[in-house]
Amino acid sequence: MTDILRGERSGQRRGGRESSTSVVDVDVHEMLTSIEDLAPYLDEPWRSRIVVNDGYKGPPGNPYSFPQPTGVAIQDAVTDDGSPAGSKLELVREQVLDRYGIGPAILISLFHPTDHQIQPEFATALASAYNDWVRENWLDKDDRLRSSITVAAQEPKDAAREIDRVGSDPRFVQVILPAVAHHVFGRPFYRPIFEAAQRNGLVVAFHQSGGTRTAVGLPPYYIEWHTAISQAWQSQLIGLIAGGVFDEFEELKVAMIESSWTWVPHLMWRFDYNYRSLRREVPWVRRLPSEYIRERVRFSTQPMEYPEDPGDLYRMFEMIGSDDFLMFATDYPHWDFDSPEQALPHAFPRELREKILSTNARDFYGF
Amino acid sequence: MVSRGALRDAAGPGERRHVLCRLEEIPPGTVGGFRAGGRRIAVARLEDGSLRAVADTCPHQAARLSLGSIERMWVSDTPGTHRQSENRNVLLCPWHGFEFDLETGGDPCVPGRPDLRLKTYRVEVEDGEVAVYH
Repeated sequence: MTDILRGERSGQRRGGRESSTSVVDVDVHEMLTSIEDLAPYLDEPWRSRIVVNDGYKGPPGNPYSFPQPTGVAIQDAVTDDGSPAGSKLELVREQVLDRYGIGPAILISLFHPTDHQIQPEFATALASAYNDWVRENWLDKDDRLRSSITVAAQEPKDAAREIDRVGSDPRFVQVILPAVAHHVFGRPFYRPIFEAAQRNGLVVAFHQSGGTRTAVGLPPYYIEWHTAISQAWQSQLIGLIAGGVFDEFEELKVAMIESSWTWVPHLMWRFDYNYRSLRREVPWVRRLPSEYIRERVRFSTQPMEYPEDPGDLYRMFEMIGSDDFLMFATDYPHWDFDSPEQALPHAFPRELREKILSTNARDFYGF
Repeated sequence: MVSRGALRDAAGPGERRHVLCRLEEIPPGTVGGFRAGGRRIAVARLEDGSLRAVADTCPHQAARLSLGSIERMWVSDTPGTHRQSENRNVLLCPWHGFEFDLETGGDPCVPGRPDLRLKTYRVEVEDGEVAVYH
């Protein structure tokens, strides 16, 4: 067992390969240097759309300017050649995988063709190209890495075909969907995506994107948006349950990545309470909402809350009623990165640290 | 014709027979509220004419359940579709709409949760009268 799992710090660089007791990181962001990285993986007529001068620059990103000194990245991760933080595998190795002895680490794409709400065939082609790019430039180069399958969810049947195309590669462990605010993925329209995920034994994960909005849309300041965006995951989770996705796909598992997690007790209580009153509206939902959440949904630790009394955080954890629901994540290379050595306060018992830092993700993803 | 004495004898050990009303006072598809032996009891008459008796106080916020309604429970085989169960009947609280299974008294979706379970009573129709035993 590594010292991190025991809650101790050795101060030594670890390096080496993954083992059954190494830390698992469920949120590392791999970045394109530019969209032209995808050119070798695109056929015409799509390739020309991105390689010409003044061509397409990519799906809409986060609309805010970042107030931090080095933008959205932690300062360590800034590259010396101007390429985006997270675009260099050697830095990911040095600053995450080797530094903390992490492996597996799951790559979470921030490239979401789902946010390109127009030109559906082009969006689908971008998703395929991105998956091929990840496979060749990341997965093939470090066997500690796993990845998420990028899709253009606005074309669910095409997204399902893409899931089938790359889902047989065991290094792809989940389908990633953006926690958007404009549509509920629990609607029947999106069923082919969940059906394909279950068919391929894949988790479906949610992460924010350029399309993530709060309940008031885009508030004036980034700090407002960043504080309130968990509303998007909450709405998607509620939608999956109310839409009967878990009832229809009984093997389906869902991961909420970077949603934060201390809101989960509130949502379970509220949803269960409403279910007792309003079940008649959605009689296809056969169990209490909290039961689906405890059994089928997992959350990433990052961004960990930081209360004055760390014991409060552990009490929130206990309220959820499952030791399995939380999985460690760094969110490298972003400014709200969490270190596996520091993220969990000592209020969390040692055996629970091991589950959160390693075992829970292994059990969930089947590593 | 059953004698009054025989009806009293129908009560089991520790039970007493309590006559609530005439059967026709509870039309099919309705629920009536009664006091009997110091307890509030709701008696529901299902569409088939049979009776079910449960505690008349909602365990949530103490609403009188007999002011609510009964129905065959809404169920579904496929998301987006609704149908009423052939054999499950529920009592709906008049305040928050909590459902109670009239066979078990429990929440139909959380049958094991004791704090949401209504006490059930044996109810009989005897000589045209509705009687509960407790």
